[in-house]
Amino acid sequence: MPLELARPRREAARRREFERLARQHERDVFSAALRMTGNHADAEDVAQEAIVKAYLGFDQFELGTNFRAWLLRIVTNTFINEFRRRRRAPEMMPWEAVHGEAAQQAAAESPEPSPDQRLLRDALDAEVEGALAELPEVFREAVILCDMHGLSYQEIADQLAVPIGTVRSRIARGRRVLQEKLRDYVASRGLI
Amino acid sequence: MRTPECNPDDDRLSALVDGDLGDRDRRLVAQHVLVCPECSRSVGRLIATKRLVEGPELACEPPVGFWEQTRRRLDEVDGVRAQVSWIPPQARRLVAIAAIGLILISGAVIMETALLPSLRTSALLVQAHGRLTEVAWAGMPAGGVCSAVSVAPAQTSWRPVSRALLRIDGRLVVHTCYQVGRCPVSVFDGPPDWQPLSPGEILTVLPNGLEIGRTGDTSLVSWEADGTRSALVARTTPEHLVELAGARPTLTGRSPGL
Repeated sequence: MPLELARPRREAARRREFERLARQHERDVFSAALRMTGNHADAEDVAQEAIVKAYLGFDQFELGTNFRAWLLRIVTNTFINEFRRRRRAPEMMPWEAVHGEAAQQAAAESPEPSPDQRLLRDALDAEVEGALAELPEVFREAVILCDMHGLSYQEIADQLAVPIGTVRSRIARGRRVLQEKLRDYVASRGLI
Repeated sequence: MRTPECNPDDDRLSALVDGDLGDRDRRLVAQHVLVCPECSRSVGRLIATKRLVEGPELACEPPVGFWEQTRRRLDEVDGVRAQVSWIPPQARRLVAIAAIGLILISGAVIMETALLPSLRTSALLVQAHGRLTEVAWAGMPAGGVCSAVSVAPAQTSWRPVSRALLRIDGRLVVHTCYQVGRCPVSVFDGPPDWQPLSPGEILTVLPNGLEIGRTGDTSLVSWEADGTRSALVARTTPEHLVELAGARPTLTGRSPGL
């Protein structure tokens, strides 16, 4: 078969294979993005960006290995390297929307968090996110893959192409640095 | 404070929290944690940190239409790929290498333009002059300092020692080093809008337009004539340098109007 006819077929097969694998883990990808971003709109952006990136780098993926772990690593890096930088400015709310009579009444009636509670919660989450962002990259990646995405040490070791002992040490050291950075925050929330 | 009897290190306590220790290790570490208050507290702190990073359990079904939208983006990627697929892989590789080269060159140019202005122009001239006079030639006084200048105002007393083309402030400047008697003198010739001395560095301006400045033991004079801005640099007093400037043959054959 001439080369120019074989190429489109190969491309189509590659696309089908990628879609098959990606759809299996679509939910995991979106969940991971949602955990990192904290809201649906941003999670959708990150998840989509990560899937496109994975497609672009699909040639480097070794078929038969752990696609989910590979994809989750791309989600993590997409969030860390790109999305966090261009994240929208902090949500601004008019005073009336937070403290006005209607807002107070709605807050009393509704079990949903009030706008100011929501803002406070987001700010607190931002503190953890900030501490994570300050971690050296090798620690941060290992901690996020383990704690946020629930990958085992072995899966992380395979993804990062390092021995399992290195993963263990990176996670422990990353947590130690995080503990230092979040000491006041943890105490103020009564987590210990 | 951990006691010397505390066997588990941070790595193993952390792995215990993650459930990633082997059976034997897990049993040993867990038994120790049960009886050691300090390690028990460490485990508590590790769990709290882990919970923080884990974040809350969130509803995680992707929104309706998520996959369709993602497919459209994959189609766009395929579209771009199809557009470039007629280019042979070797050519694409060459283009990629050329692009990387271009990026590196641009980076170097940006670095050069970003870094050069951090050093004042006059300092650069003094530096260039100093670098040349580090190479001693016969008859040059020690350290290249002209303790006394006796200038015969004749062009023949200026012996060119070296010439170089420099880029200063983004402009091309000709640097010529002369031996005048026993004194090494640098002459820099650049375009008329070039400013060898910034206004704050000018000690005085003579009526004939000669701008005089001084940096350490080195003097600088600058003037514009015949569409060229020139600067004279020598390790001597400003008075001596003005005298040298008056005797200096310009590239166009005209002395600086003294």
